[in-house]
Amino acid sequence: MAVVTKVEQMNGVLRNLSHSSADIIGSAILTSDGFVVASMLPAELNEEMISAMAATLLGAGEQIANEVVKSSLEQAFVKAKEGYVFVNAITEHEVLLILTTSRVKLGLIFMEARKRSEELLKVL
Amino acid sequence: MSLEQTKLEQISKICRPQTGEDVPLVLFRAFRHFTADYVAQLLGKRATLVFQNGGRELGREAGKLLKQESLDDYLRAVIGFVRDMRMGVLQPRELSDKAIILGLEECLTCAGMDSIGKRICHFETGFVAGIVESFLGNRVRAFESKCNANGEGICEVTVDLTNSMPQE
Repeated sequence: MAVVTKVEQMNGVLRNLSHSSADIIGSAILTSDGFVVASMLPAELNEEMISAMAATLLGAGEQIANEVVKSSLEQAFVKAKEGYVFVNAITEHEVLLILTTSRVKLGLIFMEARKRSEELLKVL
Repeated sequence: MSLEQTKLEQISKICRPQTGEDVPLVLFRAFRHFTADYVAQLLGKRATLVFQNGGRELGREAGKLLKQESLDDYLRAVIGFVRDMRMGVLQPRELSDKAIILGLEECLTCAGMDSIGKRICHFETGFVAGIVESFLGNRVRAFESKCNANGEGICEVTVDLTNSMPQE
């Protein structure tokens, strides 16, 4: 029986995520120190820098959530004219990053992000 | 200012006829620690990445200037650079295909401080990672395995070579 590696499992989760909506442009599992664990991001992006930015965004989000609403953060996202960037904490060190077009249905992406994060938590 | 200049070249130009080039170490530490504390308030536990990646960038740039063919010669150059810049005294502890472990005595950031119960030399950790990356051409993981500020008597950086990946 073929052994499925962790990276293959993670790539499988990212593939399934991509198939869930045509508005998903890319996704990746990144670490807080700038490593890319698995990626389906567009080739022109600097993954190392994106990874660090995502972790920083999440860090600021966590601090705001703690300070302002006295609660832990589930997700941070950025809305730009041309699309969204969603960052979900999977563990303390790994995050799920999702890029979408501006047409994406937010309810769908929130649900997908949560579901895929839970799947990834089992793999990591 | 030429766009061709590296960051190190840019900041190496100093004009302080009355105050000179040297400053008390405590001033550097004040800048370093107050900034770290503030960034930690903004980013929480993820603040370490800012300092580690900043140090990594410096390590990569310094690595280019110190480039040597063999790892031994390169490390010798790095150790000399770190000592000349008075960052501290680097000591190779382990060099294998799995890990590079370097001790850092007289650490710029924390040598002599009382224990504050945590490892804080993220910039130095990133610097060592960047130095190694510059030689290998691969991105590497590094962590501070000992820190004087954590009551461990010396700072030590462990570079994990088992999980490196190509630099972009």
